[in-house]
Formats: sequence, structure tokens, C-alpha cells
Amino acid sequence: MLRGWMLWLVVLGSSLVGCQAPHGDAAMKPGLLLEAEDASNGLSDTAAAASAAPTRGFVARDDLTAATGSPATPATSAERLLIQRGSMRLEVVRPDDSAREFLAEIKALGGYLQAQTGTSLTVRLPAVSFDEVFVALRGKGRVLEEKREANDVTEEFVDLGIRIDTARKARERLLEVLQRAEAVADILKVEAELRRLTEEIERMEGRKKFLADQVSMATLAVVFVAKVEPVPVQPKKRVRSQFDWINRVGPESLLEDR
Amino acid sequence: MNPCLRTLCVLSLGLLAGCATTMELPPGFVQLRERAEFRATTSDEAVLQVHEVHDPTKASDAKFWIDALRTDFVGQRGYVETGAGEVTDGEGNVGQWVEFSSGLRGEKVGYLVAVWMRRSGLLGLGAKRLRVVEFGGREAVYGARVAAVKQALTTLRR
Repeated sequence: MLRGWMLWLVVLGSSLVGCQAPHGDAAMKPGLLLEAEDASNGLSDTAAAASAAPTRGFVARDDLTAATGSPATPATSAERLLIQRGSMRLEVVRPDDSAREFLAEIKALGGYLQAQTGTSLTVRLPAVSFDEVFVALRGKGRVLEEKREANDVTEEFVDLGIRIDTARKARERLLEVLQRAEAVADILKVEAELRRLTEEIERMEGRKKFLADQVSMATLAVVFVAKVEPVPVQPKKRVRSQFDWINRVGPESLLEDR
Repeated sequence: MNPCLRTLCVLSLGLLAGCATTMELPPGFVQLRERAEFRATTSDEAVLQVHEVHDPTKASDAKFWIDALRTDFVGQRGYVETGAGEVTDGEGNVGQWVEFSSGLRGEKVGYLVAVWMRRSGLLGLGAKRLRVVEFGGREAVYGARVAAVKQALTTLRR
């Protein structure tokens, strides 16, 4: 009976994980953080590169793991997690050349092309270089349109970390309960709850990976358009007057008649 | 020579002399010789010329011809009209004038044209004709001389 009660308590507790994220003991210990990320096949190459980058815009693993033993603290104001996006429309002399040069510069910085249609490019570039690239782009032509935005996802990122940690702990406890369960009905219930928790953990980890990628790599959409040259006005073909004497007068005939 | 014939010749010469265009030339203008029509010029290449042309219409006036000139000069040749008005010649005929600015050989020039309606013949009983006076020159020269030319138009006589 005691086991039954324990089983129901564990199931009830794990169900609550999907509704709220308890704080307090749910500290992100370095070991757990590494384990969670390793368990989901580690970070992508881009996120791994970003985690080695300066802290601006992304809290590196080392920084997060530095909070050993203390309650999870959100990033400081200097270390906000920002998803940076920008767009610019530039008038240039040669759009094809400008697009090609721009792409080469982005690749040199560690970025890559996400989409291209003609001279309209969408690129991903390291977030630390975003400001520099945006300002430099203004000097490449006449800016017709520009837009920048930064979406702060610090809270969501930290919250996800806490919830993943909590869910993992709940899953561990369920695994212990499963080992001790004897009744088939109990086993089935625990397994069902384990599946739900696992899916929840995978979903949250996916979301966290996505945010990490978005934060580490900014998105910039640039359109290069050709400079519009004024259309030369063709001289109008003169329609001669119906009156012959009018056709014979004027400054041309007066001043050039020697 | 027969005295009557001599008298007739003298009178004819007098009449012919009276048919020639006369005008008090503005300062700096000299009349050119060997020109069928009255033509005068200055050392800075301003030119003043008088024509007489046949009126091809049955009923028209100076205003009609000035408008016809505007249609051609502004509408077709791209000149810019810079002024217009009336002018009375030395015989009391009221004519119309209009002036333009245009480009010629890469530089701006000023140009004025004045039109009077008149009748040919001794007693003005002949066909209707148009007296057309043109004045033109480089912009600076035109600007410096146009006032004197307009004044000279008031001395214009057949």
C-alpha cells in the first residue's frame, strides 16, 4: 500500500512538471547541464562555436555551470540572450557584385547563406559580428530601407533549463519506482508517465537548442537593387509650323546667317 | 530727257526711297549693306533684322501671329518665353512683341520678335503684309541692349 501511495505521489509530482517549474532545489548543476546536452547528442556545431564566443548575446556553458550549488540565477543585464534580426535594402551600382562580395564577407566571419533569390540574400552570421556588419553594410550603397530588432529570450531560456532539469529528476524517480513496481497496472501507469515525461524533455530540449542557435547566429536579410539612372530625355522631333515664314525666323537663322 | 519723264523718274525714286524701312538705330548698331532686308549688327554680335512677309490668311491680327510664334517656339523648339507686350511703331501701328530665352551652340541666347499688320501699296490699299522685327544675341549682350532696341522699334517706319 505504501508503494502504491509512493507511486501515485511520484506520478502526481511528474504531472505537475508540465504545468509549472518549481524553483529552490531545482538548481542547474554543471553535471546535469552537461549530461542533458550530451544526452541530446550535444550542441550543434554552430551552438558549440557560439558557446566558446564571448558572453555577449549568449551565456556560455561555462558561465551557466559556474553557478554551482546556488539557485539558478537568470543572466545579468549584461548577458541578455538576444535573438538579433535585421534587414536592409541597398541601392548599389552593381547588385550582383555587391551580393557576391557581401556573401564572401559573411562566410569569412563564420556565417552562411540561408536563402537567396537573385540579389536578395538571407544570411546567418555570428551574433557578435552583427552590429559591425550592419553598420558596414550602410557604407556599401544608398540605404533605401533598414530594420533591426532584438528579441530577449533570456527568461525563456533559463526557464527551459530549469524545467528540463526538473523533468529529468522526475524521470529518474519514476525509473526507480518502475524497478520496484510489481503490479502490471502500476508498471503500465509508470511507463506511460515515463513516455510523456521523455517527450516533454525532448520537446523542451529541442526548443532550448533552437533558442541557442538563434541567439548565437543572427539573421540578416539584404536586398541589393540597381541604382536607377535618370532616363535621358530624347529631343522631341520638331513639327514644323504650318506657316512658312515662322519656320524661317528664330535665333538660329538670325544669329547664324552671315 | 523729256521733262515729264524726268519728273516721273524723280518721283518714283522718291517713292521707292519712302518704301525703304527706316529706324533710328540703337547705340552700337550699324546697318549692313548689300542686304535685301534691313539688317543691323553690333561689335558684340547682336543682330537686328526687319522682314516683310506676305500674310497668308484672310483675317488675322498681330496677336494671332504672336500666338502662332509661341506655339512653334515654345511648343516645338523648346524656347522659354520671358516677356511679351505691345509696341507702337513710328507710323502709329500697334504691334505685339514677345521675347524668349533659348540655347544656341551651347550658350544661352535672348531673342525678341515683334509683329505688325500693315497694308502694302502707296495708300495702304495693297495686300496685307506682316512686318516682322527680330532681335537676338548672347544672353548678356541681349540683356544689355534689349531696352534700347525696344525703344528703337517705336521709330520704325516703312
